[in-house]
Amino acid sequence: MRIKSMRVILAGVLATLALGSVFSASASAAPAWKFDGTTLSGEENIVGAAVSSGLTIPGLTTTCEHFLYNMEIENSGGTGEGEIVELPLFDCGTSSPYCTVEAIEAENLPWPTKLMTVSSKPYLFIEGIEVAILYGGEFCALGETWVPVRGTAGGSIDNTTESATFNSSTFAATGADLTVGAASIEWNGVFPTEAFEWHREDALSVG
Amino acid sequence: MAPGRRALGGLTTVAVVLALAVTGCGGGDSSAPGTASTGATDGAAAVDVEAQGNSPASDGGESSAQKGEPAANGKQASGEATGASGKKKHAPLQLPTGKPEEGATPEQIEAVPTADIAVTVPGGLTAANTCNGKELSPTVKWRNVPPDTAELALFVMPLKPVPGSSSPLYFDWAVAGIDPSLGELKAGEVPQGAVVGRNSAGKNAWDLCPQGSAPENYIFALYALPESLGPKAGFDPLELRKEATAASDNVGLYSVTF
Repeated sequence: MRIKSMRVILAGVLATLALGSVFSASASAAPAWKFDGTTLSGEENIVGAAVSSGLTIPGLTTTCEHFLYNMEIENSGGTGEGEIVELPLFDCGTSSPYCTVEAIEAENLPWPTKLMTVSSKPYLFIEGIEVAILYGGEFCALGETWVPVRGTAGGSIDNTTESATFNSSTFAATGADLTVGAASIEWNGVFPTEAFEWHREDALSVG
Repeated sequence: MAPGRRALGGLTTVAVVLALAVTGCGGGDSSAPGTASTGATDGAAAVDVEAQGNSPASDGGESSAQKGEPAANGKQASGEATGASGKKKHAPLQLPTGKPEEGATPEQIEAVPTADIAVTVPGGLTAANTCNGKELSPTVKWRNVPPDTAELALFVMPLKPVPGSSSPLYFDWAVAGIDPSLGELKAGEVPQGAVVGRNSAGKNAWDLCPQGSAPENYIFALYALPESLGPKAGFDPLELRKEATAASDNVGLYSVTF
């Protein structure tokens, strides 16, 4: 009797696991890179310049007049992934009249990226982010100090505007976290996406 | 990504070439492949136009297979991917006018923090920490201090300078000679062996008197020093901070809004 009960329970557990795996698979169907509606095969380069971007340590936002990026993408096993391989930054400054940006360095590139779906919406998730910012300014409390920014970033992808938007909501949705030491910091930015090689004028989408 | 993939040139050049193409200055339309190459005065730019590889005529070297792109893709084989339709789906990139931000010098790169010191002020700052309350220094905690740290120095400063201050930086508190193994400064206490500098209010103490009612951001900067700087009680925080900045590559930062 006891053995029979256990068998029933075990069967139930296995059935539940089986059903669960089916449902979780459909719920987490990984999105892929597409051009003009066709799933990308092979590789492509995406380059873009941020429409806007600001990195905020409480009280101090650092912006760059021009914030470019170069990301190599491909679909691997049906899932979109890639690497940010370049991140040149131009004309950077801060929201404070007292603090300048003496140097800014994207470190340990490439940074892996992957597409993910959260609540049916596509997101770009960036891992391994390391940016070091050297602030200057005699009157700046962070002057002559290297501020290391590390962590992950998640941005929502809008297929209609072909852009990725990063803000606190998209970070929360993806579980991303950028930190300076123990403190989380904000990164707000909108990045248009543009294929550079084979699909230069094809509409980029994720799905 | 697949090994052996040919690296593009600098993204700057890529962006310039792309914008030229999008704005109709050549290179972006397969009807005029190589225009940008022809017009480019910069050899790197010409190379990058070729690196686009989106036109059989302009692809000087790599085959589709080498690029990892299936040859069976008719669009690419016919060159349509270069935008033969003439449709411009993207706004031109906003291009930088200057040079990229000065990259860090080798000396600066050496100074990039190697540790990730985590400083926190649990509970932040409250009225009890101000001159309107008990004026207690807050609890400050830290972890991930490099193992070779001899001692710590803490500086607390408003992010904005204080008008009328004789020093470019205003110090609410400066404590040096802190034993890294303590892991924290308890509220209202200075641990044995540590010394307190003369703050910008002229006291060898914690002193926080916010001006006005607008919130202010206070920076807690904790320097991990490989050897003692030998400060005495009443030290000049501005001077010691300079010494700490020169002596230490590792500083933990925390910002509190109050």
